[in-house]
Amino acid sequence: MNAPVFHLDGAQGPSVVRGRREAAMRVFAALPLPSSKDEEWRYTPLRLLWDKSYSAHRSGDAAALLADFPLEEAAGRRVVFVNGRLDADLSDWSDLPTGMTITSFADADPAASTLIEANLGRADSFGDEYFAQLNHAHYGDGILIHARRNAVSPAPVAIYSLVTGAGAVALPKVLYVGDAFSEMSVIEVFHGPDATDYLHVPFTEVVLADEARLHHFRVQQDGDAGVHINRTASVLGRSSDLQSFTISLGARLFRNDIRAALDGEGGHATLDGLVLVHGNQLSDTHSVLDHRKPNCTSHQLHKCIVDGQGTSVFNGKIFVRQIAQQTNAFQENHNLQLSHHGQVYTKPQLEIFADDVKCSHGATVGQMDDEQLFYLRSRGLTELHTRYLLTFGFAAQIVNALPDGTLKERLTGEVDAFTRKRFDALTV
Amino acid sequence: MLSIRNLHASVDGVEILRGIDLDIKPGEVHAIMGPNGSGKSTLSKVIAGHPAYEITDGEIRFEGSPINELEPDERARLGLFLAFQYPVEIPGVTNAMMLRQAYNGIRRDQGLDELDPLEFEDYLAEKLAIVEMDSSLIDRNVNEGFSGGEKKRNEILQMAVLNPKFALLDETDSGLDIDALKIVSHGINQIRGNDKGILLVTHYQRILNYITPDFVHVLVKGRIVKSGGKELALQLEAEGYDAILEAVDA
Repeated sequence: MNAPVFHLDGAQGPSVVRGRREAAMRVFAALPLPSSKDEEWRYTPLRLLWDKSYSAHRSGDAAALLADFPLEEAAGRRVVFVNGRLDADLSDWSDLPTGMTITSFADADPAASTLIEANLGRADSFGDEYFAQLNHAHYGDGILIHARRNAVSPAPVAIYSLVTGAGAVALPKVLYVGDAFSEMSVIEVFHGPDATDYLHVPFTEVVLADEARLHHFRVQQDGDAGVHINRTASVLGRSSDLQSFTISLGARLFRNDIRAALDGEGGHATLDGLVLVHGNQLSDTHSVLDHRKPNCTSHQLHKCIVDGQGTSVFNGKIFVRQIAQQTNAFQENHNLQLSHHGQVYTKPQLEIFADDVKCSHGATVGQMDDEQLFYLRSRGLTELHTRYLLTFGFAAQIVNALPDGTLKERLTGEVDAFTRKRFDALTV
Repeated sequence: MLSIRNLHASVDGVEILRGIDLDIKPGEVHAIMGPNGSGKSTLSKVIAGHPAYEITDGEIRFEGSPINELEPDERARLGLFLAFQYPVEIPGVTNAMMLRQAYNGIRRDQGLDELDPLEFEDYLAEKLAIVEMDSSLIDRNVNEGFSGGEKKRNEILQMAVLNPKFALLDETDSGLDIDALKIVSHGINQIRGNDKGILLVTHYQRILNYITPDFVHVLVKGRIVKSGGKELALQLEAEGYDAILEAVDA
């Protein structure tokens, strides 16, 4: 095997973090592509990247991709990356709420530079990890999204990362900084064309100060031949609140590493997820919830529907440090298998060093519940119809938690379409 | 309309029903009473077609046709309804969604146009009034997070919406306080009519103060050991099941 070759622009752009980029380039140059011999990559077929060549693509119809995923609730609050670079024509953040700013690293004024310097890498840089360092070394553009102290906005900001062509590598970087008592809502959309071999490697960092809140919705709807390897790291201050929902719909291979560190007393993190895989898709979630301080809570409900020869992987680590007494951590992973050819690997991994904690975890892999089937059939719904409803409901449990708006409507439609494809003999 | 002959049924190889004979005509309300473990709930599940129960002998006919071999949804489409003793939670599926799809299925069978969500909302509003149910429960997931009383009311709401010919009510009264019992009974009485049959399975006589049965049957060890009018229920309430159990054993 040979690691992929990248033809990238080099250290263009933001002087504010140029030193770090150059350091990351030196680290990355020496790193091998992980293999299935590495425990963390056991089920992830990185052979899809062997002997490939990727470059910072410049052409393609990004406007059509954007039009394919409208979000009315984020009108006037839209950041668009195309192949990892900020697209000034498609972006429009003319209607930001008071106290909120969006700044490209390349355009950072002294105040923004100070914020970037102080917060970038504060959550978790993923150490000497191949894809993290690929992003740190070669990201196209970085943006800072900042909410000032007491700035509260329920209106969401949309961050699109679009990839337009075969052989493209897209490396966007986003840094959210929520000052004390602020509240932000963001929707991230990852999208690209079908039947197109490309690589999408975003890196997202979240720094929440005391009492800050972030509603973080992410939808991965990459093209069916795309490979998407995401890294997200959050660090949460005292009594802060992260509400993170990841919906995985697309890509040939999706690897989602999501880490949250509860670094102040009384913080809360929700890391919920919904994965729909069919065909030969593989969706692999590796999460780390790190309880570093007392009295924090975490909630992780991760649901997967596996159809065709799809594969779902879940590895959920929860660390409770010795000092983190009165932790309350909830983790459940439920997998619904619709075909006999799909595969599910689930591994909860709890490491608890404190003695006064409440940690619950559970994982199920299976088919439908007989009592639920009988109940709905006794209402006159056919077996096929009942299976459709139960499958829809299994996924809708995650989607229903989203706020009302075009995102929720679209995802409800996606879940419905996925479910109907399976039950195609059905007319409802 | 419902005719049961020599019905034997087992679950996991254990025989629970050991020869039941029962005839229910349109417009009649029959109550089945019996001690715990007598087979009351099994009888309602077997009639509704629960796949875990196997009919080993005998026959169930509905409106003249045998239904032993029919799937539960086929029985429901014929007009049978089971109100569950323990209603099942369906995460992610709202009451409105489930009921509209079930009701439209029945309308399609009858050659009628389906109702769109708005039309269905109006239809549902009438039925909600019957069980004095808050309309907010309609947009909640089926039975999820409902109190015991809300679940039972939801069963009666579903019955009102689907408008079956024959209703099996499996311990619909258990776990209800007196106010909820009155509301549920009122709902059942609203649906009661000349052409409908009701089989009411209950452990206690209490609900029969509100729904007067035409016949009362006592089920013991999988057989009907005694049948009578509504006074039989009062006798059971006064004397308990012991007297009957002793008579059966003797």
